[in-house]
Amino acid sequence: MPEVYTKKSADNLVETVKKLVDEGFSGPPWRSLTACPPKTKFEAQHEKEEILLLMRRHPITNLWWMALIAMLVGVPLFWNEFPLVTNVSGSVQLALVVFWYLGLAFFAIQNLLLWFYNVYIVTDERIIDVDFFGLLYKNVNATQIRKIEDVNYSQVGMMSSVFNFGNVVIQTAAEQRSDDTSEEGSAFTFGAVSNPDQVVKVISELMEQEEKEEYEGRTR
Amino acid sequence: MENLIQALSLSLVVGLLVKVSLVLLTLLSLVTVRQAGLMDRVVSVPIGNWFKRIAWGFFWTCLVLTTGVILIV
Repeated sequence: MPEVYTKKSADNLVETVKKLVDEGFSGPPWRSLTACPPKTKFEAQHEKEEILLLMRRHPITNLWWMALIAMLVGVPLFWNEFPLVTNVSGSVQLALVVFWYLGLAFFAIQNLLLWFYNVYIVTDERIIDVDFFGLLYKNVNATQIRKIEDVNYSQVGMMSSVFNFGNVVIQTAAEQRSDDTSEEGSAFTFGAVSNPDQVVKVISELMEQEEKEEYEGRTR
Repeated sequence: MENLIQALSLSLVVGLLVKVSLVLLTLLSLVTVRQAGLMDRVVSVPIGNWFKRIAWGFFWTCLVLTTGVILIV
């Protein structure tokens, strides 16, 4: 049987992705859910592979560290209440203030980088889960759409209901051997992504499309 | 006099700790620069350059302030 490769051009995009693009989800790639993000690439992307969805945690999940920083910013104003600080010289106090604010800036930059680059990607061929933990550890999981067995999502808590975000869990045929499975149950857990129902719909449609292609005898 | 000596000792100890911490923070900021570059290589997005610039800006700020603290305090 001849091998026929059909690139999924804009015309072949699954219905839900088209709908998301129409609804304005194709905007700047710093959003929690971006459909067909422009000028975006990832490591090990195939030549003709198209990114359909780019996801990251909902921005509201950054609230805890932003609130913490907002509280800690004012701490040097009350340092004179502590005897340890009042007993050191003025120049050392100034150095302490410099260290305090640089430390806060470092904390903010770290959290911002980890939020921005911990992404989940759905392409027309695969799903990719990129996880960075701390400064020096990354974990990248990838699987083909045809290997997905089941996909579901859960929304737990008031915040996720109000801001419409939740966890999308994708089960694959093979047993997952990944560092990422310990806390999340599956190597492919898209944590706190916005519009999880739409994400599940897109993946389901891709699975259907893949099954249809296999049935018609088209392979990649 | 005794209080003065005590205060001076405390200042020295705290000053030294702050200097060492600032040097470590500067090294960590350099690691952050590298990390931002590697992250951008894994997932390349149009605004990735801004994060690299932020990381570099933070590193130079750390370096200048740490040098200043070490020289002045």
